[in-house]
Amino acid sequence: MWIQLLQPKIISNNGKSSKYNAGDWVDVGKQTALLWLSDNSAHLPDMVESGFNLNGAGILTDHKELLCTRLKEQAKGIDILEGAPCLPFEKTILMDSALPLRASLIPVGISMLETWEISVPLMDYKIMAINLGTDTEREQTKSVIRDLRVPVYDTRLMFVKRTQDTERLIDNWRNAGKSPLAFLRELYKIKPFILALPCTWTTGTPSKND
Amino acid sequence: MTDGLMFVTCGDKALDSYRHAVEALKVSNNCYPMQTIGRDYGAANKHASRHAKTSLFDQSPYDRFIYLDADTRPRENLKPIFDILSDGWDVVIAIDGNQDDSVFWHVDERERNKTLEEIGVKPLQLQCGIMAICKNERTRALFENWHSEWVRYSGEDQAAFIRALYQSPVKVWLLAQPWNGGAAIGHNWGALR
Repeated sequence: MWIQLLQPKIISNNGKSSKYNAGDWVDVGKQTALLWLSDNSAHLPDMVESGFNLNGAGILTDHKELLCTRLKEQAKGIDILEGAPCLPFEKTILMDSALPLRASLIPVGISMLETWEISVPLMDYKIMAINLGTDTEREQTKSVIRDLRVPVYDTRLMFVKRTQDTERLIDNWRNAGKSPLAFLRELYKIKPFILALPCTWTTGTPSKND
Repeated sequence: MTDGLMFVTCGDKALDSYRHAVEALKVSNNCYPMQTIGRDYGAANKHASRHAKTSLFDQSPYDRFIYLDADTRPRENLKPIFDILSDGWDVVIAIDGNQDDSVFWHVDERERNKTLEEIGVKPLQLQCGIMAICKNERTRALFENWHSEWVRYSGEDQAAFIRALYQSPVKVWLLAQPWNGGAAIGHNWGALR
């Protein structure tokens, strides 16, 4: 996989180490490429030509015209639709148009769907369901998920493979008002194979070590 | 379906800490059957305890079990965790306090780098010191992979768990820190090191 470095790297090849600088293009294995794209030490100026399999992938957002221009540029070749949450693509990236997403995360999130049905970042490592919503919604949520001391997902960004379960999850969540607690309730009931991602996927701010 | 608690107690230090955990379980009104694995292996206690922990699936006589590190101190009834398993989740586990740049901070550098390279992403770190498991084919595969991944480096178990999880997906319900090192279950981190 060819990727462009954003940070210097020392890369070993057949036992020989070479130093590469920011801006250099390097050909690395798929998993290494994904790791460096996800930690922002490399990027993909042109996603479609990158060699990642993005067939069947598309973005669904609430306001297409509000998506940042850079994302639209870098994701060109990937269909972008506007509308309420649903799964129009085999692999749908549901994203809030106001979210400043790094386009390089798209192939990383899509690759997670080779193993998982849905992949969603956490909102934060400290925020729990007990900290959100109204008394009524918390009560309603507790009656489903049994204990509110659980992390909450950041539903502004979801990578979703279309299956019976995920279609039901997204439909039910949309019909329940699209709140983070509604997502937890529907998730708990439907139980898809979900992979939680670190909250840096949406905040871009590494956590402080306690 | 039978529910129970599992502990690993390799060495006097772990056994002593386990006794305090049992006291805490009584005080918090947890009357579940429990089983311990392990004995004193001297200098090899740490290695033996990780070996035992990654073999829990086969060692547990219970259909659903909660594994607790010997240095944990339950302060609340654990029924909600068993209820979550009985509702159909395979694994119930808390997220770790160390994330992002601190992920796998305690894991040997070679294993840490290899893990990140193999899974292709900096993962959400899970804390394996307390975990609830419903026995089924998915969790059997997870434990088989966890054990074989742990054997590759024979060090800490958390990176091996993440590698296994990425190979053998299961239905995971996440808990927050009160359930591991907080109000519901205390954890005397590092007391057994």
